[in-house]
Amino acid sequence: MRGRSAQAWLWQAFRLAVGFLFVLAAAGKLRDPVKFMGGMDQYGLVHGPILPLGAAAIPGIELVAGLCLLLGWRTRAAAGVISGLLLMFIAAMAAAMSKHLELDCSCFDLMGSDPNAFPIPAFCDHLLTWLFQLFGGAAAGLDLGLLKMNAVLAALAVALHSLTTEPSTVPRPWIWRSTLAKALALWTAFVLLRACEPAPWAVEWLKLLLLLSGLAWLVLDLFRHGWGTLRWGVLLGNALILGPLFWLALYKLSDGPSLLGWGTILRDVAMLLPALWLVFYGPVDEA
Amino acid sequence: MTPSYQYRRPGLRSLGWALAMVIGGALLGLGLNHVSSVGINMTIALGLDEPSAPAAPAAGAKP
Repeated sequence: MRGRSAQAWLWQAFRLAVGFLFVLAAAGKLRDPVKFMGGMDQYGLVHGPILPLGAAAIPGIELVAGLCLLLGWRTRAAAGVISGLLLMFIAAMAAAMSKHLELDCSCFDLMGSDPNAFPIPAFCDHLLTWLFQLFGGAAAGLDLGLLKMNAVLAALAVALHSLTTEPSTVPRPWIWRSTLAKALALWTAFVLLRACEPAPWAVEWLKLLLLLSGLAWLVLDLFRHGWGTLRWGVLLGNALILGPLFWLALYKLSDGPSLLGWGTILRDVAMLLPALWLVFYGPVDEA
Repeated sequence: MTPSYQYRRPGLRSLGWALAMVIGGALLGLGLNHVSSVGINMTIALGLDEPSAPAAPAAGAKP
């Protein structure tokens, strides 16, 4: 039961981490609500009296839900509220990206973020920069941007692993192994491709190969697991892992636009996964 | 001691608590904004500061 206990503790860690991040995000917005209102206005989705009222209300909702998650009180309900907020943020960022807007998400203003860097909170940024220097920096052939991206992808892989395994008695075979294997394989492929900087013609072929291998993976799942593949959990896992990873790979390989929007969505998805899990697998007495 | 986790579809109780958190959180946010010195000035933001039309003098009132 040692492994099961470790998983339970891992979930406690996720609950605390997501709660802490939301309290931190709320604190930043409460510190400067006018700036947050300006950030909301940039998206161009909310107008009229809803804009100032929303800018004042959202930090309060984040604070209450984040505190409840931190304290472990009404975990399922708090995780539900946070999931709803994250879905709203993801939809807003997707809408902004569809209008070709390059926006800072205005999520962690207290901690600050460099819009030119991969958008992770500043304390992670400092930690990764410190690690980067510790291992020799650019002189040792390391790439700080790549290190940051790998850190986010590793967090996503761990989040998905936790989503698809659970410490209860409900059997959940093969799903996490399958999705984690996909994440790790694509991640490795992406790192290798990025490292060797292939010629333009090779990039085109590699894009095609990545897309075809993703489709082949899905078809293989269908043959191996039959109609079970159509269960929402598997579909969601495949979509969440393959979608962002392919976009990241294609964008980076194409040297396309800034990763700001996709990075924000990826970070929100990484928080959404444990939050959604807690909604359905939270403490039994709270259902 | 870690709590036991088990799949259970969220019920009305969870939904009620979630709704309470949203309403309570929104009121808390509006309240904190109201008492904050750097908060949004709702009177201006909501356009409540426009001068109202002068009231018509009551019949028979002195000019």
